[in-house]
Amino acid sequence: LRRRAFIQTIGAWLTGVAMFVLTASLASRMRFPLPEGTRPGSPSDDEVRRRLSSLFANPRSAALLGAHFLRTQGQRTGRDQLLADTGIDCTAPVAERGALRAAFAEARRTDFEAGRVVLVDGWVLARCEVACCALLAATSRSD
Amino acid sequence: VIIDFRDVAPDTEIASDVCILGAGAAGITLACSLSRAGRDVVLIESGGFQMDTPTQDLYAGTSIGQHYPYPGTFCRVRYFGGSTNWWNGLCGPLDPQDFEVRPWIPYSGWPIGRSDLDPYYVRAHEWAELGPFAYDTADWTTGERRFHALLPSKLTHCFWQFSPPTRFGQVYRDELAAAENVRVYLFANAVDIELESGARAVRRVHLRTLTGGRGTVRARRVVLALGGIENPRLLLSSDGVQGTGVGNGRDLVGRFFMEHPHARCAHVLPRDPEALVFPAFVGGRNADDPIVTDFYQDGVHVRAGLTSSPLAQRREGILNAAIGMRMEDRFTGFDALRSVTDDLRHRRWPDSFARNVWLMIREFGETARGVRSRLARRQYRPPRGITLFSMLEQAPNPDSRITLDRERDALGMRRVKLDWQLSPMEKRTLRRTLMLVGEEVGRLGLGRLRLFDWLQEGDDADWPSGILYGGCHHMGTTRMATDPSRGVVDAHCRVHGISNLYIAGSSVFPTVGFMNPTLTIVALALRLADHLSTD
Repeated sequence: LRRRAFIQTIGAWLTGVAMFVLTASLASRMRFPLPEGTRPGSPSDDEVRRRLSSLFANPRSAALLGAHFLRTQGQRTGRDQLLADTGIDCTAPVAERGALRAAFAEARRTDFEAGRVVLVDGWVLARCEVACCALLAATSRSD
Repeated sequence: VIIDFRDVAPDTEIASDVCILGAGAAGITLACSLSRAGRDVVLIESGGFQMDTPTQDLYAGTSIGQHYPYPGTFCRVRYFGGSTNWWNGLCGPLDPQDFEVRPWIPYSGWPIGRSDLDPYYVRAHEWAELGPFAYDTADWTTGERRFHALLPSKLTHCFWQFSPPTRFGQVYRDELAAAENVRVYLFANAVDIELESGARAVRRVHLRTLTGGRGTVRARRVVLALGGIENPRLLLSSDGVQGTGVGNGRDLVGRFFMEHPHARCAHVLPRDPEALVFPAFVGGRNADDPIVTDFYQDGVHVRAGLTSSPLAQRREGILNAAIGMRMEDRFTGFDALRSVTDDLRHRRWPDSFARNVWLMIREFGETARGVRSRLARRQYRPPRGITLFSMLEQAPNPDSRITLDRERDALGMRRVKLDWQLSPMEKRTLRRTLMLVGEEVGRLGLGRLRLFDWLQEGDDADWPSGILYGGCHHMGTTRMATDPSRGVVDAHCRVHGISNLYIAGSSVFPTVGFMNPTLTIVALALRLADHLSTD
C-alpha cells in the first residue's frame, strides 16, 4: 500500500469502529423519558421490562425499534397510554408467560385486522407491538 | 396474400372494404376475424418480417416530463406482429371496477362494462393461446395449493396467465397469406389520413415507403391499429383538412397517456427466514423461479399476486394496483463489510462508504455471523427475503400526453414527444396498498413488511429518479367516451364525428387498471370485428 492508501484504510476503519462504539454506547445507555401521566398503582419499570422482554426473541432489537418510535412519533404518548395500547396485562405474574404470549399474539392479530398499525422506520407494525417496543425502550437501561 | 409495397407501381390506389393500419396484436386479430367473416381486407404494415433499423428509427421520439425509462423508440417493435414479437405473454382481463365510474378518480369510467367484454375475453384466450378463462381464487385452488383467506375488505388475489407467448406475426401469418380476401402490404407506411372536405369521413390514406414509393388506400372503413403512441401521432399529423388533426376538434388526441408504473417498493421479512413464506399464499413454487407466486396447472403457467379489493379502493380513494413478490438475497451488513474490504484491497476508495459502515453497525449481528462463517471457512448464506414490486394503475391525466415534435423522420412525419405525467394519486395508492398488504401479512403471522425509504416520506407528486419502470404499455391517448367532449372514440371505437374511421388497441382505454393490456386489446379487436362485420 502507498502511504496515502494506507492512511485512507486506517481512516476508514477508525471511523467505522468509532461510529460503532458510539452508536452501541448510545443505544445501550439511552433512556427515553415518557411524558407525565403515570397513575398510582401502575406496574414498576422493572416489572414492565421483565414481562415485555419475555415477549420478544430479541428484546434489544425491539427496544431499538421502540426508541425509534419514541424519538420520531411518540413524544406525546404517556406511559399509561402505552400500557393500554399493549392490549395485554403487564402486571400478570411472570409464571403466566405462556398466557401473556398468547394474549400478545391475539392483540397483534386484532390490531392488524382492524388496521391499527403504526409505521416505524418503514415497518408496518401492530399498535400493540409498537407500544411494547416503546415501553421496553423507555424502561431499559444498561446498568 | 402478402405483398411488398416497395414493388408496387408508383401512385397505385388500393381499394378495399376495410383498411387496417398496423399489423400488431389488434391489427392481425381484426384482419383474420374480418377475413373469416368474408370481408375484403387490406392490412398495412410498416416493416417486414424482421426488425430493420431504418424502419425501427421511424419510431424514435423524445421524452420530457416524468422520466420515461425506455427512451428512443419507447420499447416498441415495428415489423409484422408488432410488439408481440418480443412480449413476455402476461395476460388477464381488466377488473370489473376498472370499467366503472369511480367518483374519486377523475375521468374514470368506460362507456361499456366488463360484462360487455366478457364473451370477447373468452375468445381472446384462444387467440393468445391461453388456458381456460379462469381468474378467481377458487379456479386455482387444489388440495395441494390453498390460498390464505384474505380479508375481502382489504385484499384479494389476482392472477395472470402466460401466453406461450404468442407471436401474432408468426402464428397468423399463414392464414393471412392464404386468405384470398386479405392483402397484406409490407414496408408501407401510413403518413396521412385525408378527409373528405367536410371532415366527416376519410377519403383515403396516403402511403409511403422508405425507398421513395407512394400510393394510397381508399376503403369503406379505415381502422388505426398502430399502438398507443403512433395512433395519436398519425391523427395529429393528418392536419390537411382538420387543422388540429383528425378527430382532434376538442384537443383530446394524444392526451391521457398512461402507463403501468412499476417499482420495487417493499421488503417482507419472513417470520422464519428459511421458510418460504409466500408459497403459503399459493401453495408451491418452482424452486428456480425467483417469482415466488408462479405455478403450473394442467400445462397453464399462472402467476398470482395481491391486489387491493374493490371495497378497499373505494374506502381509501385509491387506484387499482397489484403487488408481486420476488425472492431475493438481502444485502446485509456482512455484504457491506465485504464491499468495503474488497475496495480497500484493490486500493479503491470504497463506494458508498458511509452507508456501508452504517449497515455494518446496524446489522452487527449479521456482520458478525458472516465473519464467523468466513473464519470457519463456511459459505456465508445471507438471509433471504421477499421483495415486493408493484404494478399500478395510472390515473387518467389530460396533461400526460403525446404531441408532435419539430424534428421529422425519414418520411417527413413529425416525430413524437412524450410528456408522461403522474399525479400524487399513484404514489399514495402504492403506499396505501402496501399498508394493506403489511396488515394482512401481520395478521396471518407471516412476517413483517417494510416500505422502502422513498415511500415513507416526501412529496407524493415526486418520484425519485431511477425508481420507476414501466410495462411498455402505452394507453389512453384516443380514449373511449360516449360524450365527444370527453373522448376521441365512441363505444364502438369509431372516431367521434368521422363516419368511417375506427381505432383499435390500447389507445382507446379510458382507464387502465393494473393488468397487462394485450388480452383487452385482442378482446376489443374481436368486438370491433363483430361490429364491422355486421355494420
